[in-house]
Order: sequence, then C-alpha cells, then structure tokens
Amino acid sequence: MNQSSKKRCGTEQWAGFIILLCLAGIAAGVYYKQFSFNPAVLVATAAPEAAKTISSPVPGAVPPALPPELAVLSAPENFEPDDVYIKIDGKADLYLTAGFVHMTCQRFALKPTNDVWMEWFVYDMGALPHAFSVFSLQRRAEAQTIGLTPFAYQTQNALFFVSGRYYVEAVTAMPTEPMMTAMMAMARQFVAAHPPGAAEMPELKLFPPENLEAGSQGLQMADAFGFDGFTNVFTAKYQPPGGATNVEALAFLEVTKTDADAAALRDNYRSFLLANGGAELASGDATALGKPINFMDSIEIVFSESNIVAGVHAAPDAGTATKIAQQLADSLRKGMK
Amino acid sequence: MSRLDNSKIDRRDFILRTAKAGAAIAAAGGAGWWLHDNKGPSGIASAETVSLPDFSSPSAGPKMSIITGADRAKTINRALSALGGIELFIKSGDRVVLKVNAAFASPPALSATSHPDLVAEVARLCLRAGAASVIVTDNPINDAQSCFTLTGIAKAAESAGAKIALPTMSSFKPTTLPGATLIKDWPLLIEPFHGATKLIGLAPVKDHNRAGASMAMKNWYGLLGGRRNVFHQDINTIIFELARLVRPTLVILDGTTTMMTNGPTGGSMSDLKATNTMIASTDAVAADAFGATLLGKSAASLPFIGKAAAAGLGTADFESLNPLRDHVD
Repeated sequence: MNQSSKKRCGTEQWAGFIILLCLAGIAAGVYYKQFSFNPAVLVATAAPEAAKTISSPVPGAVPPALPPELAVLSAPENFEPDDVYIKIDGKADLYLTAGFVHMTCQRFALKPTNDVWMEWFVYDMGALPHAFSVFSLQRRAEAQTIGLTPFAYQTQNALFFVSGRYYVEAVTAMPTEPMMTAMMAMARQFVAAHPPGAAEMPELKLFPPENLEAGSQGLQMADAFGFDGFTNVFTAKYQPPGGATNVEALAFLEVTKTDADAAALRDNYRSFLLANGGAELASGDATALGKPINFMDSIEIVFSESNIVAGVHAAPDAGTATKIAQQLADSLRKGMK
Repeated sequence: MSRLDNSKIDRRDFILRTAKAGAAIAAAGGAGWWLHDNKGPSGIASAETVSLPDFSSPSAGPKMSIITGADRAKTINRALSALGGIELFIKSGDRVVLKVNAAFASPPALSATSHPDLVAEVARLCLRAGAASVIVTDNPINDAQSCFTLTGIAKAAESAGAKIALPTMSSFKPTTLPGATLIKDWPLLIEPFHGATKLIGLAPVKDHNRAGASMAMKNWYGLLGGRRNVFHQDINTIIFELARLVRPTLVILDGTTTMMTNGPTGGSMSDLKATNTMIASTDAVAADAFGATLLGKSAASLPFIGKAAAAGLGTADFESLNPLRDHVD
C-alpha cells in the first residue's frame, strides 16, 4: 500500500467515524426525547372510561350471607391495576408498588333506615406479604389490636385487617355501636371464608423482642428510606434501650438470595447514604456492624449477616443505634441457627 | 480488481461513495422530519384548545387572613371580613365558580373533601354580595354524582342557592400551558367556566401520599380530565403547572379538621386532627405555606411550594403578607 492509499484510507475511516457519530447522536436524541413524551398521547390512546369492561369482583369479597342488620346500599365497584386510581386517586401508587391485583368495594347500611352506612373495601394483593405491606404502611397510631387475624386493628370508626392475600378496610363515618358490631360480624364472616392459612412471614420473627414497639412491624416493597435498592424491607420500631429518649429508631432487614447479594446491598446503601450527605462518625467504633453514619442529623447503621442485610434507620444517637443494631445482629444469628 | 478493494479506491470513487452515504442520511433524516407529528395525536390537537381566564383581582393585592375557631361559618365570615369583605372580590352580577374538592365519595366527617358547611356559607356570601350565579364544580373521576351526594356538597350548595356542575364528556376541552412540560393538549374541565367572572378555590388541608400535602394549589388538580393519574409520577411539577394555569380570585383553605396521615383518602378518624383554622388568601402559595404548618411540615419540605414561589406565583413567606389573625368562638 503506497503513501497516497494510506492517506485515503485514513480519510475514509474518519469520514466513516463521523457518520457513525452522527447516527449515535440521532439515536441519543431519540432516547432523550422519549423521556419528554407528550402525556396527551396517553389520553388519546386510552379507551374511554365509559367503554371500560366491568371486571368481576374479588371472589367472596362480600360474604354470601350479610349480617342480618345490614342491607346493601350500592352495587359493588371493581377496580384493577389500570383503573384503581379512579377510586383512590392519590393513594393508588401505594397499592400498585405492593403488587395490587384487584379491589372490590361496596356500601352497606344499617336496617331499617339506611341512614348509618359503611363502605367495605377488599384489596386482593396477591400474597400475604403484599397485603401486610399496605396494612402496615397505613397503620394508625391510635390502632387497637383485635384478635380477628394476626394482623388486625380497629380505630374509632373503622376496621383494618389482613387475611391471607387480602387487605380489608371497613369504614364508617357514623361509628354507632350497632354499626361497629355489624362491621365486626361481617369481618368475621370474611375471615371464615378467606382464612389466613398457614402462610407466614418468617422475617418478622427475626426482630428481637426487647424494646420492640408492639404492632410496629412493617414491610416496604419499594424505595425504602429513599433507596431504590431496597425492595423488600421489613421494619420494626424500637424504643431506645434504657429509655434515654422518646425518639424511636427503626430496625430493618431484607433477605437476599446469597451472602454476596447481601454484602453488595449493604455496601450500596452505605454508598447511597454517603453520597447524599451522610458522614461516618469519627468517634464511631468500627465494629463488625460497621461505623455509624450521621445522615440528616440521625444515625444509620447497616450491616450484613449471611444473606440478610440489616441495620438501624433514623436513630436519635450513635449509642442507641449501636445497641439496637447489636441486638438485631444477635437475633439474626440465633434465628439462622 | 474488486470495487470493494479499498486499497485501490480512487478519489472519484471515494467522493461518489461519500455523496451516496450523505444522500442516504439526508433522505432518512428528511423522511423523519416529514413524518414527525409536531401537533401530537390528531384526536386531541384537532379539537379546539382553551385556556382559563385570569380571575385574580390585582386591585385587591396580596392578602391573607388566618382565623381560628371550630365553626366554619363563623371563621370564614371573619376571614373574609378581615380581607376587606367578600364585596372586595365579588361584585354585583358576577358569575362565580366555586372549585371544591369532591374527589371521593366520602362523608364529611372523614374530611377527605371540602366541607359542605363551608361550601354553603361561601355560596351564600357570594350571592349576598350580588353574584348573579354561583356554580360549584369538581371532576372527581369516580362517579361524580355519588361524590357530590355523599360528601354532602350537592345538598349544601343547592340549599344555599348555588348550582352543581357535574362533569360530562363534553365538559372538557384540551388546554396547553405555554412552556409547560406536562400540561400539553390536556383535557381541562372548562364548561362550568363559560361566562364565569370569578373563581374561588375551597380546599381542605390534607396529607397526601405523593405530594406530601393536598391544599389550595393541589385543589386545581380536579380541573384535569383524562388519565391524570400519570401526573402522580411528577406530582410537584403538575401542582406547580396548575398554579400557573389557574389564577383564582381567592383561595380558602379549610384547616378546621386536618387530615394528618394516610391522605388523601384517609378513612379513619384517627387520621384527623382538630386544628380549628380557616385561611383566606389571594395568594395560594402563601396559603399553602401556612397550611403546611398545620400538617407539622414546613413550606421548604414541599417542593411544589418552592417551585411556585420561585416562579413568582406567590410567596412562601406568608408572614410577609402580614396576615390578619383572629379567633372566633
């Protein structure tokens, strides 16, 4: 190959490179543009609401025989993932991120006047943990635990419970004694028809009982603590050991497939905290649990034990965080034996 | 000699090949440009687009009053008189729209919607000030008739002499907010605004699962049609854009009972707290900034307030308006 041919070859390579660069630029432009997709397209392409197929109710959402004091006040309404926002606009995402499958709701009134009424919501969440997740994330501070199922409570005007894959709410604005009694009777009938079964969440037993706030266990199935790596995080509230302060701390754990996954998730969460303004405490002991991190004026600890990543979130001080984390680590080791 | 033997290619071949490649790229780009639909879906873009008039009263200036008390009729009367009286905003012959929150078929005791006592009293005050008509409206998505009935809003409004405007398919026309990223060719509840001269927003103070709070500015969300739930993925931007889109005469933020948790639907009375406060303001940003405090939050913790304030739609520093404070038993 002579000098002139070599020069031509080089020029062609550059020309080809520039053309490929242009094509890459166009591809990047298309990729970028899709993120500013005109939402009106969704309106234009969506089926009109009126034309929506009415889906069937959650099987057995309403017990076949109503408590005798109740009468049907309205037809059942049924919602699926693509239209549940119609009923609970603003809160649909909470259910959708937890695996929502189907919801049936219906109004019932006390006979004979129908003046006092309640609304009955049955959410089919697909599995017990999913139902438990939405139950726990909405648990009211004034909740009074009831023995209906392992996860059930009532407030002044409502019942909330999980039975197997179902999360159920019964809400009235007129909490008279007859209405609350009727709601409870209907709830018992529902549980009889949909027993909780043998399914359980063994993760809940891994939390140490010392200083655990009763009924505070929860499950976050997406973006726990703002970190998108956490997708199945069980939590429990703890009073600080010794009662030094009234501020609670949250112990947490997520079970992963392998020990390596847990270690990677631990490291990623630490990196997330540090990248978002967190700082390792200079005075913190570098124990097996890792150094505590000051994050937005509260303390975080994250560690892994076999295939479990665990830690303490939003503790008031390093001492509290370390004690709770140590209790949790001990409990995990016992639980895995 | 093969034509693909690059070592033997001459200048003429190279120029020819480059020209062909360039022509192919230009043709592809031109075809893309030609086929690109700048106007979006024809079903939407071909329809008449609309926009809301500016209902604000510049002469009234930025004002705010914060009145404590448990009786909504009394607190709203005092709140309005503190601003200079309803007559400052509503003139004889005005056609008034009251945009309420009737989002859920939920009884008033659960405080998920505008309270019927407040709706009735504001409607009465407007009519007493000489309003030719008062229309009460919202787009609850889910069976509007049930929502207006079970919230008690329909009965209260009609008893006060107002009319209820329930949304139908023909009530909406597409709107585009200039410079917006979300409100483009989007269906807007426009029918109740035909001939309207004044707009008052009546919103309860509520916790909100996505936005952190649902108050005066979030209340305009109910003017959107379509599958508006897509906006929940960017809730702060949609509230900000709605604050740009809707320029009301007045906003009334009802913090008599605040939904502290599990909003916006609530369900349990334990989600509620008696905060006994009524806010009236010509500045929705300031009203929301104060409303945040009823929820135990700060304006800075709610990004939509910061966005609206930064855009000059109002002030997050509500104290700068020197709000008149009072209490009525």
